[in-house]
Amino acid sequence: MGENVDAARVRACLAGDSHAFAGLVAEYEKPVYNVALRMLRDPEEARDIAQTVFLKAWQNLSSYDPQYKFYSWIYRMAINESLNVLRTRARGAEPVDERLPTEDAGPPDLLDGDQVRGVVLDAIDRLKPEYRAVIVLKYFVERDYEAMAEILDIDVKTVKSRLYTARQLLKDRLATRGVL
Amino acid sequence: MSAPNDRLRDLIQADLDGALSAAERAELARLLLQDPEARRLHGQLQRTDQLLRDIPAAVPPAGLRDVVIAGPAQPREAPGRWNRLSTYRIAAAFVGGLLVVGAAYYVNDGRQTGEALQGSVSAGKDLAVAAAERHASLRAEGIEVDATLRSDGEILHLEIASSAATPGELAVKIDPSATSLTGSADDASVTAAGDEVGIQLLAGRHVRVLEFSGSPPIRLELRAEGRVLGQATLTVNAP
Repeated sequence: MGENVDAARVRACLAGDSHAFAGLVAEYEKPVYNVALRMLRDPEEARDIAQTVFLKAWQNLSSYDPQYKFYSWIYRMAINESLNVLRTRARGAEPVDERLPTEDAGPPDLLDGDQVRGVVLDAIDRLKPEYRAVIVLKYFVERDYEAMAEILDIDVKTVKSRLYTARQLLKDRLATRGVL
Repeated sequence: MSAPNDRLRDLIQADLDGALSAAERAELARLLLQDPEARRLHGQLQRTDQLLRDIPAAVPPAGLRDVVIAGPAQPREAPGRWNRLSTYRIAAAFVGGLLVVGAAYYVNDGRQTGEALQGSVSAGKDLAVAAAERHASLRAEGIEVDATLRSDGEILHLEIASSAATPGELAVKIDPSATSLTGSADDASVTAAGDEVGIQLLAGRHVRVLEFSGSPPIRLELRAEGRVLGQATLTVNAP
């Protein structure tokens, strides 16, 4: 969706037009849900995050800075809300060493497409949140380096570094599971 | 395997992201030719990249959009004063929102809101034009249908955009004494009989345009496995 359309919708929202907000929701409902789902791998939590993000967006539209892309603003909220959930989860969980194979590791004889996708999602799930975030933004909402940098509030060089490391970790994990 | 040097790493990354220049592509090819370990790394990262791209986007749960859109029924708070709402409070707000707008639970649509936006921006003088289109969305069980009805004289154009994770069917119900199907995309998935035009909703994203002569309303019924998942009625006001 064009930035001008988003900007017009935001202006209309601020002028009190709640219908314009519905346009923003229609445009970004799916990517926001997917960001949360791939960060958390829990449909219920992803749904809750999506609700929270859009309601926060509505509540805080007056603080949105139009010099940034609207999607950057809303994806950043989705990432941050997801990170909050992950932090809460982590308090009660043992840290995971991403380079260690798990007990179920080992090349399976034959994996169908769904099983391969499951292995890939498992591998994403084992990434540290900062690596998971770049993978999610790259592959599930198709952001480029600059957009990822804006969303994550880091520089492009760091984006590239994290993305490469994340890909390496995934590659190692997928190789261990026999899908490469 | 030893760690790749920074240059090779940058080139592989750029290759995965489709950001290689012709000169860089040639340089990467030369490096890969010289180093079997680099070729193996490159191949595995390419495969990893493809596996990630092969994961389909998830379809948000039915009703999420309606619940979210109900949020603006609540007053906007100053930045930083946000308190997270529970699903139940949001649902309550949704019900309140429905009472306000008088909308059916399953009928809503982003383009409808765009229409509303046009109406509000144009301060009323173009409202007749804006009101000459009607939209509806039906969303259930991984099937999304966005329908738009436009009037062009005595011809009604019904555009149906569908996105389905699983197959379904959309029934377009008309009054055969007043309305008839005059044209559609050359599409074997569209069948007409009596008061109903049936559209098979295949997995994936599809857009179809049907043309009718006559007058609205036109009713839509989303079905899957013999069950009715949602209904909507489209109408077009005279401009």
